[in-house]
Amino acid sequence: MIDFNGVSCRYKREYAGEGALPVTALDDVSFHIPRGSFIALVGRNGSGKSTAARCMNALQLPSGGTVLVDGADTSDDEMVLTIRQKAGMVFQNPDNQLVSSVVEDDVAFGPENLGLHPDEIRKRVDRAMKAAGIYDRRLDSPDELSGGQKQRVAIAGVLAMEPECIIFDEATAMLDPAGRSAVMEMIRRLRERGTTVVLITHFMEEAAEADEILILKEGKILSRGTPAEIFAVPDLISEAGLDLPAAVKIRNLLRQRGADIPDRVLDIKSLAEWIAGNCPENVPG
Amino acid sequence: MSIELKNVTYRYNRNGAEDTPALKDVNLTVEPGQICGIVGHTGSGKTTLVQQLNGLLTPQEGTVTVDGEDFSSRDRRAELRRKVGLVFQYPEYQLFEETVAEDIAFGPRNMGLAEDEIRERSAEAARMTGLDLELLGDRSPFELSGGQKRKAAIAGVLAMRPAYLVLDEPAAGLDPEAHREMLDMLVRICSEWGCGIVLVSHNMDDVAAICHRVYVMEKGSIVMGGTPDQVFSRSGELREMGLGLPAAAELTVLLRKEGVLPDAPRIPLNAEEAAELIAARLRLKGQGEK
Repeated sequence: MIDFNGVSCRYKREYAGEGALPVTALDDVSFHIPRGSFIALVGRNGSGKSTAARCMNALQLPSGGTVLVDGADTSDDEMVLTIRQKAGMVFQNPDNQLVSSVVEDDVAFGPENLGLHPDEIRKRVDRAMKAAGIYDRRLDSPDELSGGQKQRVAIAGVLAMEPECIIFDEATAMLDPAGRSAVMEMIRRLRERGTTVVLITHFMEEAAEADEILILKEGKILSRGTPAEIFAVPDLISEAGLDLPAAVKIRNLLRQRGADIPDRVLDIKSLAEWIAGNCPENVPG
Repeated sequence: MSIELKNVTYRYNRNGAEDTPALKDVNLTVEPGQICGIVGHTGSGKTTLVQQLNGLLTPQEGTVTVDGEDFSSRDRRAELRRKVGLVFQYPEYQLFEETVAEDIAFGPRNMGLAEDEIRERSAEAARMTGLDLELLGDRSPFELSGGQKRKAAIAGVLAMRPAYLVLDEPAAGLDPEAHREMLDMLVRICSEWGCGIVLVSHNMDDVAAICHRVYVMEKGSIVMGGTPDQVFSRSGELREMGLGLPAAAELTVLLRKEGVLPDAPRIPLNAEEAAELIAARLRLKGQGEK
């Protein structure tokens, strides 16, 4: 779905008194994101995650290498609209993404720009609002909504474009726990429908749900693997300035005390299940 | 010495249709040298409460006092406000001076302090946040990374040497490493300066880890208050309010439900405690050894 081939993003940044200093946001990065997969992109602030995200829908062009979205080169001007339609993006701050004073107008903004027939627009907007769980607020003003609800509207706006891939750039960072779990629930549903999902996040519990985690450090890929593989290497996690999910911390302490808990146990629920299944009284026979 | 809220009731719209108070009969004490956590849903009144603490809003009923004084006297209001440093959500959006050093010095300069004193306070505040003022002081705030900007904004508040510090979700949006540094910094400010800190947060693990007292807000009232131990042990009630638990407590609740762990008055709040308890239950040989 998305291919980075030797992608570099270098630019000069002016510093008062020090002149222009070169900044390398991405340094010769190559990776492939298979269609229908769910990839988490993690790393410190400034590691290049957001730059990579912006390259995925032609908001930013690389200074070296190529980015292909479903085979189309993001540097090809004629393909930009097609690419943005295929790869939708949800940003951190819901307030910066909403443009209309009525929810359903906001959701319709994208499809209207695609020049679709009004009937088709209506159908898509209704479907998107229902999928995002915001249909019953369709006639309200976004101002009346909570942060989590606004983020649902932003997501509905992207869904109405019927993209094959959605990139969430720290889309849960400003939400409360309820808002965050609502967004994660939507991601699970998108994945069932076969939509490719790229999730940029600082929450390791969210990253643990992905098929694969890609760790960026100083503009380079530090590691890539399944969550079970990645969270099995604590040194890697601290090198990248990350953290282990809370369940993995408890799991590791139990391992130190002799419990033989497998790497795939990454969340509180599956840890509880493992413990319940391995309690002396609960062992069959 | 403390911030005291006594029977505070506050309505945004006194005579309008929505007459439900945003704060209802709130009682709260913030003591020096203690970190006090405030948790609750979005819309439960946390932000309204925070604005009472330094006189940005004044209650229609009840009193708010800082070290015995209220905000009613115009002459004293500015002084009292300086005593209570307020750090809003995403404070980095409020940086505005040309250089980082000037931004941090803005508060102390406004207080009319001598240049030496301003410099000393700025350096001290930057040191406390871990910001390298030698390297970054002459840069524009807009050239800093997100984490550095946040530190600069907080240093600007610390440079006024507040006796109390109120922070609304100070770790939101930070990467895990910067998040840990933020918590460490709050603990240091509290222990080294004896500051009384109010931490508004959705993150129950953070609250359990660093707070001495926790208050739970719902619909404008404080419905629970006590040590983290006391508050998080009432897991059922928190669940009913739709609030989360620290991960260790969450795991314990699941295991109690499964009948694996017995009900007990105390619930573990950190990974070590939970592991200890579960290891004993699993009869692991290594239990008790470290």
